[in-house]
Amino acid sequence: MSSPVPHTQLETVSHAGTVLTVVASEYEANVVVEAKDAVADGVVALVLREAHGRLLPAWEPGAHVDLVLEGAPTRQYSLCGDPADRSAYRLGVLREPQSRGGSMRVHDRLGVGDRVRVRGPRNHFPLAPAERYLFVAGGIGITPLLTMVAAAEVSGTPWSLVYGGRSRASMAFLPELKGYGDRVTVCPQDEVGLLDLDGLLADPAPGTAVYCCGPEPLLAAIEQRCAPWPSGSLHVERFSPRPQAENAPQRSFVVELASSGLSLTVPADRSILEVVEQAGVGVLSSCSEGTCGTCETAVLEGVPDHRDAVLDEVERAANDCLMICVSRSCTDRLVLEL
Amino acid sequence: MTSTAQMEYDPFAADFYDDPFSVYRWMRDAAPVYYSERWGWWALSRFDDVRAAATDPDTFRSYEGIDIDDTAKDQSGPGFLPDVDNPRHDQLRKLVQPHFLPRRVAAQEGGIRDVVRSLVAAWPQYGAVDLAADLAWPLPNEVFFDVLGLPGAREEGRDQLTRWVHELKDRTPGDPRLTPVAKAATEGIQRYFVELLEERRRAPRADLVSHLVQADIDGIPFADEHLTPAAEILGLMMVLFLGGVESTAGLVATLFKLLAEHPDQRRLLLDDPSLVPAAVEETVRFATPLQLVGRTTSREVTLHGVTIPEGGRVVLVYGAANRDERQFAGPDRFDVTRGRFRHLGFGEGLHGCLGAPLARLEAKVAVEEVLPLLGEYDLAGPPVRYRSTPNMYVWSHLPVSRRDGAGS
Repeated sequence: MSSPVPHTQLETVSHAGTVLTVVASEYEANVVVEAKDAVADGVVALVLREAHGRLLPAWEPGAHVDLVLEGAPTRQYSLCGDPADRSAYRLGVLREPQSRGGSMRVHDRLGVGDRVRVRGPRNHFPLAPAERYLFVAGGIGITPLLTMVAAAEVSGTPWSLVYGGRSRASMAFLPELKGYGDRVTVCPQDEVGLLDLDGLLADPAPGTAVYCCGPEPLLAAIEQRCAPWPSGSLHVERFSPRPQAENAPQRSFVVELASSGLSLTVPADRSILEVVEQAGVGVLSSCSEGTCGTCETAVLEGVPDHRDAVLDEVERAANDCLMICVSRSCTDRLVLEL
Repeated sequence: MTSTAQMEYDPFAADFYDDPFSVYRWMRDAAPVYYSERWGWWALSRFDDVRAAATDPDTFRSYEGIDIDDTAKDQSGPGFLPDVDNPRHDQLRKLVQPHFLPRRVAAQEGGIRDVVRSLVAAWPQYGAVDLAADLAWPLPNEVFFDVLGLPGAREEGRDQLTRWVHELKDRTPGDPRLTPVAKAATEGIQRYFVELLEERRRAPRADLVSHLVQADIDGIPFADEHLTPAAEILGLMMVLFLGGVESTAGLVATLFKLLAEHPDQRRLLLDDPSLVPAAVEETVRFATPLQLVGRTTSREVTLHGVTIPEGGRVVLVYGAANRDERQFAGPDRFDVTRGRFRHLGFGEGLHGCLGAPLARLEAKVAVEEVLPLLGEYDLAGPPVRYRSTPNMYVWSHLPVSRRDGAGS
């Protein structure tokens, strides 16, 4: 039951200047939690070993794996151990009560000796050769950068790391970073305020590669500050492709169904589609993630909060329809042609 | 009392589709996680079970293929969307999804209506007409070839393409392998697509083929510089070609067959054409063109006391789920007044049917245009089932006779 199951994956491989798409088998296997240690407030480090003690696939700094938990959404976590040690993977996991449950499951239910599945590793955030590196970490975004600074150190490339967090106690892996001396600047917000990005990035430095991982506001601010930099200078890691859809606040509102004569409350944690279906009103739907456009429904009154990937800006602004599987309401009441 | 005698579910059997529904009922009641000794897979048949599996693509993976024949995956190489898991699936689907949004597909209604009218105009003035061969098949051929950017009805290469459509699905009953005819057609069409893609790369047009050959995914060109049959874009072309015609042809012919068999329901449609969309949905439920899809488990799954091991092959029988009395009142009644309701005829979730809006529109327009002309028609002989993979429930011939004065 625990042998690695390969499944088809397409990888892009660069070789001698040619980019190839190849069919590869992606690794997936059961692993055992060997250690689970609190490394900061709200952060645990997991050490995972293959269930039968086999070697795990090689990886490079910046790589992540999927952590597949039964009954919880599959989430991606950066590998933050030693790439040379293929007997184990180390992940840093932040408790995120607002998230869809993966990290809460890790914190509250996963214990030493438990089995989980990992898939990958994959690397969308590889460390490319550069003359100098500037690493910027925000909170749990330190995890992929931890292995990058180690790699830069080994290769003898000049580097510096600026690491921000809410408070010293919330910042993981500080003891490991101590050995690097003044190349690491630790910036707890409650002591020194927000990261001084303007100071850091004011002067574009050709030859310097900037690597940043952290919360969405930090990534957005860095992108803005790096706009005058030579193109290709900035490298960021984002785990959620649709940050706006995942992080946008969910609140409850009322939908009135004009044709059916029903008035229904949509709670914060449910979609219009779910509520309408449960009320016995037939609707067509398919993807449930706002991409296929099947559940488009006409809006008669109220302003929709569009969260789909279907409508363009003009179509959104018309506010005459919405995709009820993901979109919500800006107004307390929304009247739909259902 | 219903009989509890053991039945066999063997969709490869030559006569299985003569009456699949009694077997489905037995499976749902007595063997909801049916194991086929003969083929070594499990089958789910209850609505809730099939739906739960369809919407859990992490557990029920697609990499071994949607088809339960073609085990060598000769026809479904890389890029064959129904057989691709995430993360790649979403990247590929994003390339084609914009072309199949209901709101964009709706713009084709006028063109589809013209196609139906030109087909009807070519029918003989008197006597029987074959609604499968003379309407259901040429309609999606015409519409979908146009969407893709394949040659039109009178352009060079079109006859060969139409022949390939059928030869690709050539199978020997009881044999889960492609026949030599199907293999030759697969190779022929792959060569053809390579040439077509190269041509569109040189001289792009406003069609899907040109879009695909010029597309990139995260800055990486989707089409390789030197295209081969193993290229991802070929797999994507193949599934569009296979998926766009047969299932829609099946839907249209099945709808007219059911209306012939249920004159009371046909009367309702003749009196109130606004029921047509509901009749289309009911047809997809009642006699689902895509009867089943294959999946493979990524972990051990226990359901109704049966344990499917990790790596187990699982058949999701949409055709059975859509007749589940646990979900539908009077499931064996063809009822065009059910309105809008959930069924699994187009699948659901990640792999939900890309072309569903187009299929719905073609079927709706076909009925709106043709039913008033035919009026109260009769079957003029037994419908002939289309020789295809065990996944499909489709007709190749549906002869109907027109009553005197029909349409006047």
